[in-house]
Amino acid sequence: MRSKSLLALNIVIALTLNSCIQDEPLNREADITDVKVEGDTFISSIISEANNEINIFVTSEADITNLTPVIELSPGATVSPASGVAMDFTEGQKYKVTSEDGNYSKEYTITVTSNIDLKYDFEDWGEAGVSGRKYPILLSNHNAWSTGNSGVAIVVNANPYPTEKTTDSYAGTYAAKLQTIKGLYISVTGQNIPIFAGSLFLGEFSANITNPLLSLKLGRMYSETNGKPVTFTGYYKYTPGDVFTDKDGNPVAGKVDECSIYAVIFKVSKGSSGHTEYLNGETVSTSDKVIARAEWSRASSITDREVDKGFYKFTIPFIYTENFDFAKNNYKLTIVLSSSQDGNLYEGAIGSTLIVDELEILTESF
Amino acid sequence: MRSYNIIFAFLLVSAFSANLSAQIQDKKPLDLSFLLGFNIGGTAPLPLPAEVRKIESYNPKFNPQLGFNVVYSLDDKWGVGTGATLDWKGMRVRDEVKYMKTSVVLTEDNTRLSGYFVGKNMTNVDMTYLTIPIYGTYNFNNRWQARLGIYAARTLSSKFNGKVHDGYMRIDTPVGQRQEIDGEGATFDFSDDTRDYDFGILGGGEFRLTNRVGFYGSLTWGLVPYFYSGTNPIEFKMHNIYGTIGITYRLK
Repeated sequence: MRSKSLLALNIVIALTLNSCIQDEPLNREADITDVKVEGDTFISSIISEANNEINIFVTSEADITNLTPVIELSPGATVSPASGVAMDFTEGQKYKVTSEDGNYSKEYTITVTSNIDLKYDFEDWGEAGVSGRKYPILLSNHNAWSTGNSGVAIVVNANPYPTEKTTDSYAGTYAAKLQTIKGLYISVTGQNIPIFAGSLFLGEFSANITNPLLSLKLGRMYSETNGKPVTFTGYYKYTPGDVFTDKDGNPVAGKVDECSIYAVIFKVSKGSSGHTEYLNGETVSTSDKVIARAEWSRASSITDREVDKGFYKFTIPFIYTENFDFAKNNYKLTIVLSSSQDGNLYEGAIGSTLIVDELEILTESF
Repeated sequence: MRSYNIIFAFLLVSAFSANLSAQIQDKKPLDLSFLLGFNIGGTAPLPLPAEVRKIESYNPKFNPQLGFNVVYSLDDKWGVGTGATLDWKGMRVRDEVKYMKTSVVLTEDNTRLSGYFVGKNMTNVDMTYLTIPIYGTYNFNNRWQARLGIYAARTLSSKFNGKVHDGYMRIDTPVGQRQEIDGEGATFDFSDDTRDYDFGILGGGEFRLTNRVGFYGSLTWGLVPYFYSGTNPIEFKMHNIYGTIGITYRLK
């Protein structure tokens, strides 16, 4: 009885307080959340929040001098030039987004590219983040790649960051270097993170401190015009770290760290623009949306061939469980690379280093 | 530990006062009574800032007040009073917020993630104060007495913590990097930034049921912000606003 009347009192007080709620403040955010261009030539877009760059992919039939972007924004925000206005994209165009309350703004650069490139050379690198917390980002392939660096930068200004460029390359100037580094205790979640594994993947990263597996948003739109993926090739060298530790940081005797290198093709809804329907660190291995995989493993590394400069060349066939059906679905491709294959569970060996260069998806016509 | 010492000293003084009052029991103008009550209220910004979108639940907790009052009657109507009380104050509020400025401590080396949070928030406040009031009294009749005055309070312990969940934070500015915070959520603890004293106004009244026993109610309104201004971790100016109801027992 007493607890009932107390509960009633609490409800009354909560309701009374709610009557003091003021009008909702105007939105302060100024993001471009989605972009496409009008017409059938649109394939997909990539929005890089790290450097405010947006790339729109169109088929080779598109007239780049006259494209009409359709832009979706944070609620209430406005953009200039406006959405729905035809522009010449021979060169990148700047778009300024202003928040609903008018106090915050962001400037994006939108560029347009014909077709999606399936060759990855890891040559073009940049930096993102605030001063004192600058972390490396990979710019190649129009920001299609993401890393976990931004998540690491939230908790520590790492040196080195788990994913960086290296001049120890197979071809060109740079290759991607993924290394497993020492983690730290995250008091906000009460989690001890023994390691941060180097990671690099086609998709987006949105740091989720409470469930890191969900930080990964894997997948970039795949175009029918690219043909049917047959093999996944590239060059790598891998050195496992000395001591493998479990998720609590305890050494596991006799266990040797392994890298992961794989490509996955999965279906998404027809008409999907590319900014929804990702796989994450869990579903990439379990989802029934997956139609094909090309996965490196030590067992299948018989296809590995030692080549120059300590690099091995791998050639992995895609194994299909379902055929493409562009009439019914769109498709996304992701490539996932990690210096510790169980790094997303925080298991691995500090010092494990994976260097990759010149990856390519080889295709045949449909 | 220190707060236990103070509580012990307080009880000692109370006992001594009781003894003293026994000696002066017939000297009418001095009126000593013990009180036992409950504090219900909030440590909150007022008016509620626009950042607070919805109060989902409010728990006033079990917060006793115990102490004594000494009232000196100037004449039939007017008097002045003081006393000392030990006050437990606190609350737990669950609410939905939009752009609430907050910072969560991420690592042992005190790396903080600061920014604007949109989502669900739980705030938990637990405090103990040693309060000294000074007030004037007015007797309407034999039964009713009104009081108005000020109080000063020493913070014996103070806890201000909670967690944010089911939302996201924009780091540093509302257009900064977006950090999802879901699942178990992220905890915050601003206990170290709270002020170690409180000062404010009080008003109330007492109804005398019998010569010895009465009921009282009062409202204390803190005038100094709950957080030190230099360290205020959450933009809003928070104040202690608590009501008390309870019983008094007058020593004759």
